[in-house]
Amino acid sequence: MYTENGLLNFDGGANYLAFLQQKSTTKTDKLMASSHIGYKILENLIFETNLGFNRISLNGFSIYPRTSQNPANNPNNQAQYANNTSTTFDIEPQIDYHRNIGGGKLQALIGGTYQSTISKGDFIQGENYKDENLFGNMAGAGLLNTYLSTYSQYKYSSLFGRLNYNLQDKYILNISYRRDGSSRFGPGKQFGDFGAVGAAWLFSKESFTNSLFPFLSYGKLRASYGTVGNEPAGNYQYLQSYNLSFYGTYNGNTSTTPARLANPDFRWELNKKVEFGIETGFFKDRILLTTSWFRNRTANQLVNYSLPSQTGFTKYTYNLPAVVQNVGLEFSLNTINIKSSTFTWSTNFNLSFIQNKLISYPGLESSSYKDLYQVGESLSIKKGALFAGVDPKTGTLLFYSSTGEKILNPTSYKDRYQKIGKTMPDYFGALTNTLKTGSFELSFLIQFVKQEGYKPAFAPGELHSYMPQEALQRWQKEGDITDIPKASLLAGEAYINFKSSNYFWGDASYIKLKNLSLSYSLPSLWLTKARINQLRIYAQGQNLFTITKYKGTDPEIPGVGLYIPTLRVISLGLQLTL
Amino acid sequence: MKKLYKNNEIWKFLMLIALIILNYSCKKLIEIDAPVNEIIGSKVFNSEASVDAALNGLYITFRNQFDGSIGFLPSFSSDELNDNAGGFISFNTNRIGVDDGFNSAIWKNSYDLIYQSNSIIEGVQLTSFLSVGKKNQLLGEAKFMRAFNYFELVNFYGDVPLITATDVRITSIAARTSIDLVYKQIITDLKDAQFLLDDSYLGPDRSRVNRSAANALLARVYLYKQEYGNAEIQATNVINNASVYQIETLSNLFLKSSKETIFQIANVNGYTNLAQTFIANTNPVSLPNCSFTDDFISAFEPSDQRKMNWISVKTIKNTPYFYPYKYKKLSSSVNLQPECLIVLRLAEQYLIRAEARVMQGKLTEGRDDLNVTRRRAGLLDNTQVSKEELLLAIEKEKRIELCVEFGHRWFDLKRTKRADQILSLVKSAWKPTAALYPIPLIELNNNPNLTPNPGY
Repeated sequence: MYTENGLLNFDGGANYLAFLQQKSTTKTDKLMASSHIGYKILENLIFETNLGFNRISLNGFSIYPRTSQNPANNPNNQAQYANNTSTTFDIEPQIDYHRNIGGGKLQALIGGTYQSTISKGDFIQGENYKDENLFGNMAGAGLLNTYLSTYSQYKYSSLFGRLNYNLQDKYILNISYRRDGSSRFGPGKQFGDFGAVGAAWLFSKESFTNSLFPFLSYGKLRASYGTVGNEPAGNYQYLQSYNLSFYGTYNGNTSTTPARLANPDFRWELNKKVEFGIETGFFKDRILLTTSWFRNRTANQLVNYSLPSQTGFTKYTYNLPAVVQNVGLEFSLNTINIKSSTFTWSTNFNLSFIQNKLISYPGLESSSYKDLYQVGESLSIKKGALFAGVDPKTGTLLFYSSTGEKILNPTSYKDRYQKIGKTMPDYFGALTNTLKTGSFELSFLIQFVKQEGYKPAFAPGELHSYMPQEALQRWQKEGDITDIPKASLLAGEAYINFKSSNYFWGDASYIKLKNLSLSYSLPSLWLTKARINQLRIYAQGQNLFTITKYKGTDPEIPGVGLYIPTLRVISLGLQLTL
Repeated sequence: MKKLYKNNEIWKFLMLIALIILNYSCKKLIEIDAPVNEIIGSKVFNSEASVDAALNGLYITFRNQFDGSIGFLPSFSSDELNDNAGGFISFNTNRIGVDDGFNSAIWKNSYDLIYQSNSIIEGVQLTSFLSVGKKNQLLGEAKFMRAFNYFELVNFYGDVPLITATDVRITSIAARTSIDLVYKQIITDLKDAQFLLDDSYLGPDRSRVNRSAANALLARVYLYKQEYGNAEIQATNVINNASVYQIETLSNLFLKSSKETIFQIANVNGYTNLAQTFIANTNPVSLPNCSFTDDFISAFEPSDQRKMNWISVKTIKNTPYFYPYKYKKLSSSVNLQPECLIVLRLAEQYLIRAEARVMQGKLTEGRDDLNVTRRRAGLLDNTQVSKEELLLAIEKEKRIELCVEFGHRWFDLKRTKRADQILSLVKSAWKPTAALYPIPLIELNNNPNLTPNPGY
């Protein structure tokens, strides 16, 4: 690791001890101030407002001493300074009015939101410091390089009103409207109008319910329909602009290159949501069951659309002319299985089925999404080549063409982009159990997901860091009937299509013990004497085991190659409340 | 609702006022300042400094494109270079994949340059902040750049989308335009540039285009269009400007100070990326990235001094590997005079005129032009008399004089329809369709109106 002179040895090209000398610190300062002011104008008229101020500043400082760099590259002392701040200011005033009317309670609310954020950042690099002790001082650098500064401003405001009418806590009606404005849209497109209407009926409060279903302790039917908007993620996306060239100057003169395209057309994304739900409680709420169904349709979805580079750019913010639908059915069951003075056992179970579908997309065939999406299929559709096994004669790869014939290498788009699966799960859910006796509490959470994902497999021409077992079944001589290709040093021409094919796609479902915790609270009798409110000792484990047929690193994040899976964390702790 | 407010007229009134104020001030509330770290579209053309910066940015993008992989890839496609490192094997074997990254970059960078040119042309025409002289200069340079890149595009890809505006709604769905129409635009742009630009150079070292650059490129374009009379006229325009452009000595030819240069691209550190790519490293066992084909090396006549001057050799296990050594400065620490990428130079103009003259039957004058570069290389004058012999001699002279420069050899073989005949002899897998590079897959995906090139 070191040379005879005690310097770092770079004969091997890299020396990992060098990184220890290249120190880097990042300091984040946060200032948050908020206040809530309320004023009762009249008995039934209240004015309230939230005021907030939020400032985050981030200071980065990294040093690269000459001695920590490979002398072959003729290094010098370098340091980097980064400075970023973001300041947000927001106000949320509202006026609340309520009165009794027609035997029920009416509540009206008018409010507004205003938010303003300014973010900026600078990055400076210093070179040729004579003295390593002066890294902290920019003036100590022989040469200072400044990099592109970042800046953005964002403002958002909305005005909303809500009417709520509640008749005897049995019938509830809700109507709301809002007008949102955002600086992320171009002129004329900044505002969007949205609204919602909802109703609920607490049928357990009806006298006939009590006589018909005496075991029913709670029952509520609800329905709602509403629209919400969505704004793009980035600021200034509508403005054409030039930024300083990343590659410096030309003949020493300032140079700028186009940073964004003029794009004044995009507008608010619109989500329409219909929801029905039924909430029921049985046997004095020992069993609570909630079932809900929703249908969410998104129109004018804001996307970062891929452009052909003949436009001068490769992406821009765009309203997809498509309608995308999410339909979901969700169940949640809470039961208190045992409840006695010394022992309680409760269970929570939830299960969700969510289906995504591209309802319509006029012009899909002539858009840049034509190979990615398909009308009538999920947006999470996975497309690729269809693997047709191995030629028993030669051991080479075979694929299905879009017309179902076996071919050596798909070249046309139709053959290369066929449906091979989808990434969205079919269903998922979790089961939580909590057991309590005296001062002890034990709880565990089991998560399950039914899904597909990338499947690692034996591939010819690839250097495997471990050899999958199925390699033993590979094609080896003429007449071998197998789906595993022959071993080869060369990847072959069909390699790219092979890698994108369903040979590398499969079931990634799993059941995981996500969480197990055991805790013990010290008896309150002792604690009162010690003037302690609560003292709890606990042990907790996360991701303790997984049941799956998945062969990759982690089915929770099915991905390509070797990567860090969700970590198994075991923690012991002590919680003290005074 | 009515009933609700009736009892409380003041409340109703207050609400109304609040609503009006809020709604009115909504627009004001979300007004933001333009970003202070950038120049916003219309403002780019509101000051000389900003437009100059945009134009300098165009030159920088040009440098990134041409002092980069496009500078040597076509030499692999033709019969000039062999790939030793394996990174360019698809170009070397003329089997470029539709998803090849180098090929996609050629296409994308060309259109980046065209967008930058179009943006400047549109903005300068609309602005009222600049003087007429300034406007002309900017328009002339931007039009030259647009012409240059369309010339590259048609020669790499054949029909390409002809984009002359920046409106994304139109440019994103534009289909391929025929080569003839693209050439028509190129000629229009270059004629405009001849009119708009001055004879003198702005800035140091011939690193901004002037009228002679437009003449020189137009001469080449006319040659490709087989308009030999026009090609001769344009080349003569440059050659006759003898006080500015002179045939340099071989050793000074590729220096920043070369008198032969018509247009060169400035760089920061005094050396080219091409030198870094071509020149073999000192590791005794590693092959140079690329080396000249045997066929090319054997094309030199004995005593051709260019072989000594422009080619270097590294011998590994008794096998010599000849590599390009036109640009010699490998880094700023090498003690050599500064070099920069030369885009247009006088020697090409002589060879353009030689061919144009021979094609018009002016054989003696054509032969004189051919002999200019032969003499510099220390060779005896060509004495051939037949048109066919002279054309072959010019082809060979151009191959050597302009080797590994801007894909001249690749373009010339295709232009003269000699590619099939010559390349099928030296390349086992040569197919006539390989004469055009593939339209990149990502472009076909993102613009459904684009069609692939045959054979891909």
